[in-house]
Amino acid sequence: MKMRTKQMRIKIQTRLTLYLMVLVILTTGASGMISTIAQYRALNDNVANSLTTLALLAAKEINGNELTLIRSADSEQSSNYFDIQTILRRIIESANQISIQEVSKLMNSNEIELKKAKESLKIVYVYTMYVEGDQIYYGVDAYPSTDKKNHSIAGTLLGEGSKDEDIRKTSKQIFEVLNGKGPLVSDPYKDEFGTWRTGIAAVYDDSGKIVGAVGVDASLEFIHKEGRRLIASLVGNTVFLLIGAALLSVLLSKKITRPILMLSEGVKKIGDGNFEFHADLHTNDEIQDLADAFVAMNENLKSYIKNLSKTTAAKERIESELKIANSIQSSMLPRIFPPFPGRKEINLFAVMEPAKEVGGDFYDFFFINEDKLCICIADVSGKGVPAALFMVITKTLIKNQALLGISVEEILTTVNNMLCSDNDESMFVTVFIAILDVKTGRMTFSNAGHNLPLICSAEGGYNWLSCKKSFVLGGMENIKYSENECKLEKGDRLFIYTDGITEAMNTKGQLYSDERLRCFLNDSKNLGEEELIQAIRNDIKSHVQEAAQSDDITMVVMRYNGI
Amino acid sequence: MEIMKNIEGSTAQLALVGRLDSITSTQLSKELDNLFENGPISIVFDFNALEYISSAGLRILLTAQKKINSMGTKLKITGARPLVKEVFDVTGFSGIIEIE
Repeated sequence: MKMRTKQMRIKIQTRLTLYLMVLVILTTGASGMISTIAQYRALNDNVANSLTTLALLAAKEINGNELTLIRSADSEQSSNYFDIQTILRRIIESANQISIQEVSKLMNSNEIELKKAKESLKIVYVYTMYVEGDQIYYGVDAYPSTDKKNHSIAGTLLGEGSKDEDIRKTSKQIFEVLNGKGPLVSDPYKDEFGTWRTGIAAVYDDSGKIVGAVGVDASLEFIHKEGRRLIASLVGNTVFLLIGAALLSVLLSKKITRPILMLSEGVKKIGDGNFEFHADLHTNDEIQDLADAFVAMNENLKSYIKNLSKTTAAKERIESELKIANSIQSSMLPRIFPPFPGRKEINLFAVMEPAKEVGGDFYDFFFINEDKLCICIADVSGKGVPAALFMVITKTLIKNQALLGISVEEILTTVNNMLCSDNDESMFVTVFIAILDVKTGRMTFSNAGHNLPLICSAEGGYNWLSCKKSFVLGGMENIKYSENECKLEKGDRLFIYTDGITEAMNTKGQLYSDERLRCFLNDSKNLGEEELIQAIRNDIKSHVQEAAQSDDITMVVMRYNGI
Repeated sequence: MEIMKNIEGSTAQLALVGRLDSITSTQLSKELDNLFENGPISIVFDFNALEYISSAGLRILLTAQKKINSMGTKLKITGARPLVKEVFDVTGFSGIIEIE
């Protein structure tokens, strides 16, 4: 993400502005250029047409017979000259809308003013020409002879000695008119006074013979100025439109980016964990769709987070309660070993490891009176909290009954009936209970559906303690439990356990098995009680490996030492 | 675990395949509840393919037996493997439930 933000980013606003500007340049620039060129051409054509027309007008008005008389400076004083000069003068005056005196004055001003004058004057010179030999000469001139600068004296050579290409070309065009090709306008040409075009029209005498021509000169400064004005207006228009486009794009992109920026702000807030996101957008377009999607997402996130924190809180509460339950449960079992430090008749060690936080297994041992030791182990059906609750009831009932001093058979019968009443869930518990007279070694025991214990004589090995089978506690009312009896000798050991040991399963589905337990016990006969239990735990661990503990593991080992 | 059900008249035959432990026992419990909902019915369990039964599984069987007792019908377990049969013997269930 950071890499991307570091890359060059072009804002939508900038992009939009650029696009619009390019568009403006392409459209107004190109079309303006075309129309400007067209206008410039039209202007040129216009000038060409009017020059020809003016030359033709003058030529028609001039009396050709009179024109032939004017061949030298002397003839300038003749009335013929004045007649023709008046015609020519009027052309200048009507074209420029000012008197010839004013035109003279303009044309005689200093250099800067002269340029301005040429730009404002439509027609600058009007004169007649004639041919003698192969040379062109000036005839009558519109300017009075007093205007020394602009007046061309009759009989002087036109374009005298000029080797200029333009002038020679123009002379050629004058010859074409004088040879009867009809009126025309010269191509633009340059001389020391500027750039010009000349309208040329032939003058005829009474017999219809061409006797000379009228020349009407226009300075192209006028057209150039007009061209510059056109370009300036084109540039002006374009710039104006560009500024307009820029402003428009700023407004437009603001309109487009404003909701996006709002959204982006909102989304950033969501990212920071603030779910108070309200997209106040009414653009009715794709951005609105996006905003709506964000609002929906935000709502979903909100309820999701709410649910999550609720369930997390609930889970944490349950976990902490289970932790407490676990410590309550383990404190209910005798945990201090040796449990009866003053009694040398027996050694006892026991352990209970629940598979979950709380378990359904329990063991218990206590002296009923001076001589009689009660030992029991139990396994409630199922696991977890229901099993733990049932275990607490069972343990309490058994101890209460046992302390009355009744037989093991009576204890189980009473507890079974008590457990059966109000047992809607059909919970049951398997129990092995034994009462040992530590003085005599006589042991009475009863088994309510529990795994057979192992007994080890001092000389021989471990063997299953045979006893009559009876049904579990809590399953059915009025079950008859049988009592068994045996006598322990000095050094005999009793090992009782729950099926969490023999049914401990590894990842391959193999059980630890009764046989492995018996063999392991026989191999570990030399161990003390505590070491033995620890050794069995390790052996189970090495069997199950990574597999999770599936059931509570409980075992009690007791060694009878005699008196 | 897989339960294959076959109802013939007023007797339902249920063949269980796999392990009946604390996790799968709820599955059997639901199946039995459904059966009992439709009035008195006898049940025959086929345990030929049952590999293992835990105390949670026994509890479901006990519940079923109690229900059967109250309905006056019959519950029977057939084909139990030695390992499963041993569990019934040890826990004394073989005295409560008819096992063939």
